[in-house]
Amino acid sequence: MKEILKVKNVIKYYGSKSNLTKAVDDISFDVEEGEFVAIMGASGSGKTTLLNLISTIDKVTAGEIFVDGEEITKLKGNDLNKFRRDKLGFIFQDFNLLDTLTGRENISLSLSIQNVSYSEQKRRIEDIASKLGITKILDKYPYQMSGGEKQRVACARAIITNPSIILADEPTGALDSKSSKQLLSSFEYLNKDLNSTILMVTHDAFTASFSSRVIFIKDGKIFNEIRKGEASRKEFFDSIIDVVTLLGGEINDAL
Amino acid sequence: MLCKLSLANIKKSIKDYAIYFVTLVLGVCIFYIFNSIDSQSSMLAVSNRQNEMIELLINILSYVSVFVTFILGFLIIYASRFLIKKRNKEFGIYMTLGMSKRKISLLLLLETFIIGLISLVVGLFLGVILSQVTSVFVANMFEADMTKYVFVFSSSAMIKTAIYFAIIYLIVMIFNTIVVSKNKLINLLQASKRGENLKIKNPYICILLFIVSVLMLASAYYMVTSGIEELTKHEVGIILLPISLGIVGTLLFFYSSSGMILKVVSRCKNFYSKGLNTFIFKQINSKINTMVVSISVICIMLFLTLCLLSSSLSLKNYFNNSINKYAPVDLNLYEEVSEGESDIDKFLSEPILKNNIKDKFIINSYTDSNFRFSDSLGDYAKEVPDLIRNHNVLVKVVGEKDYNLLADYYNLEKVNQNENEYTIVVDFNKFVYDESVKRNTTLHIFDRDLVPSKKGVIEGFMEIGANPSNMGFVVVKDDLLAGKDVYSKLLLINYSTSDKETVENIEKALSKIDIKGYSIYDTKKEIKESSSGLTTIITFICLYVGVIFLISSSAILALKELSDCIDDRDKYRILRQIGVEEKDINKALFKQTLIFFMTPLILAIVHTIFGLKFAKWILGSMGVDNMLSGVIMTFVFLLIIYLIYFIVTYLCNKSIIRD
Repeated sequence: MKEILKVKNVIKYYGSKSNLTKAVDDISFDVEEGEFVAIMGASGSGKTTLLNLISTIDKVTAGEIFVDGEEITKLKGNDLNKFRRDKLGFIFQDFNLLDTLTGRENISLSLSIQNVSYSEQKRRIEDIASKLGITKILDKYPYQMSGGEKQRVACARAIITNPSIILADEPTGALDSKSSKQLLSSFEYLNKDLNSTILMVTHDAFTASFSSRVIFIKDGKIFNEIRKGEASRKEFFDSIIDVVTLLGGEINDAL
Repeated sequence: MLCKLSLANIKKSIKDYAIYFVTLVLGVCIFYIFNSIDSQSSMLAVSNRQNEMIELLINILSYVSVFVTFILGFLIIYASRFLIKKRNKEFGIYMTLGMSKRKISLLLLLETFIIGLISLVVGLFLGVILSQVTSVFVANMFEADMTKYVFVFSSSAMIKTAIYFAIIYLIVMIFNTIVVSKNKLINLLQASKRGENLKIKNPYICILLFIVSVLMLASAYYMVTSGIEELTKHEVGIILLPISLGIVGTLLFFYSSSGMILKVVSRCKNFYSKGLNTFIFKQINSKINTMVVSISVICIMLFLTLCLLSSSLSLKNYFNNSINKYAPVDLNLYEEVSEGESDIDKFLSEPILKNNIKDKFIINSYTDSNFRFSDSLGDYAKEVPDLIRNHNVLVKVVGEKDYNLLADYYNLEKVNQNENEYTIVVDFNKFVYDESVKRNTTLHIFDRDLVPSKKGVIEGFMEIGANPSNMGFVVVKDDLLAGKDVYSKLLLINYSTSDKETVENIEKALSKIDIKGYSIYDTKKEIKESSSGLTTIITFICLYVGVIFLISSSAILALKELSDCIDDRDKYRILRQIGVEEKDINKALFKQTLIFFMTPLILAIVHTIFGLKFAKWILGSMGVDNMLSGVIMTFVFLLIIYLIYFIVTYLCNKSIIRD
């Protein structure tokens, strides 16, 4: 299996010497092609910081991150934007769709900045839209869509460029349970049928149970890691809950 | 405490205040400069006549200033509304911390006061410095000599500026207080989260309205250019028709054009889906849609600025050149022949004039009591516009010999005609006689029928003036006038001296001579002074209003662009996240700002092309034929101011969207 993401001894400190916050404290892990990895942890555990480091939105204090064999911690300026454009797909809690553009235009934007021709754009959008079940809402504006629809459009935008890895930050955070389930099925589809690699940050055990591996983070350090293996989703959910209980009371409220 | 907080706030949001502040300073500065004309002119060597003109100018300026204050007041209220909107969340936080609305209003009051005070001081300071430069300009405009250089400072203008702006700030404060006290806490806190109220218009309605607006504008354009003859046949009020068509057309144009253009552009799929084009066009579309009224007002203001400045500058240029042409002699005295001592003799016996005459010439005119203006046009009289026909005076008749001597004197074309022929000499509304002669109109003068000579109409005049004003007189063979009584005489004199002081003394002596009621005397010097004075007044007022309009419209555009940019920060963050390169983001921002600034300007320029044709028609009747230099000067001036605002806006925007 090809290694898509390699995080090696990454450290991120905030603040000055006298008042140091270790947001990420020496974390290492790998993600292989076609994996669906969830990172769980309480608020303040450093999971979003970790995601920001991987997505190059934030810079590491020490350590190395490789995506597709490229050391992204060394990238600067425009190379960063290029890296994000070509290698990453993003999905955010608050969708981050441009409200002046229709669904179709939001999706095509990530293609047009790669100078993909119009006919190719059209073909790929129609294709992904039918797979994610958003064909009917393609020409609607974000304010005309429900939360779930918006998030699936965001999904389509993230996947359309065939990125090496999709980064999702609390993707179900702003959705009701029905939309959450729909979205997670879409994730499963992307992962299983399209063989996309997904790294998802969440504090919700139900959301995490859709993944194939869960990494638990506490106080900036990896606390535990469990794999789904051959287990059913229900069994996997139960084992996630076990670890969450072990983790302590902090994230019980998330259940 | 509040004072400290408000100072800190200003310091913190200095970037947001920049455009607001610049606009205030410019407003104060210009207001001061124009209102300090009186002290600026004090260092000029001006004659009585020029002095009268300057006083008249100051009087008019004081009225115009009230109008300008209104415009600036609206602008400042508009600007402060943007600033408040931007800080809604901040106010919300103050309120959750337990600050009362009264206190927040007070805070805002203090901030407005501080900003107002600083801008007033800076603006006045700049105004005082700049007015040193403008006084040279004033001297140039009035064609007066700068006798001595003194430091100009007008305390009255300063006090006036301070009072007017204090009133504006006071109104702004009241307005701000109302806005703040009306706001609900929840709205304040969620101000940034509330999605923009996107109005997606039906593209087909847009296309329809667009066509309607273009038709309206086209018909308005037609009416003031090719259809102008038609227009002049109606009452004067008919001019309101093209004006209102233009205004409504402009509004509809901006209401529909963005949707229409978007529809067209999105049809060009390959272009539309290239790079950030989709984003740029959608941004502009939503921007223009949310400010249809303001952008129309801006467009009309720019149009007025362009027309006012170009016309007044052309008028000024023209008058400076035309005086030598239309006032070729130093003095002229017109007198109707009657009992008693002749005025011409009185003049000629004045010793100081007698000693300084280079040459003199008297020309006699005759009138036939049955030959009035309408008679001189024959059947064509019925067709000419009321305005011209109503001027039904006795038309003067001059003998061919006399006229040809005059023509020598004035360098006009000579008359050479046969028995029973006539020639018209005219330079104001010449087209009327051109037409009547073309129709071979027979005139009945002194019981004789006359037909047009081969030449028919000659451009010329008898009495000197600042501009063409001769409605026409008839030149006939001398034998027709034999034995008739002379109706009026015109004396023309050239001085033998050009020494300023002597000329002044001569004219002072002449002005003391008591002349008859119907006599008129003019001197080249006086014509020059009063006409340059009048055009200067017009130019000044137009400059004043034009500059204020220009600054106001650029400022509104800049403020809107900046406040939108602050709302759009998120959008640019998203673009970065999906991996748009920094230089493409900047390019998109540049294009978007540029198109936004250009939109009202382009329509204003199209308006101006037709507006100037109309202005040329009006000015043309006064004889102005070359407007090019005025137009170029205006455009250069407009582009400089516009460009400054555009660049400042773009740079501010760039720093706003930076991470």
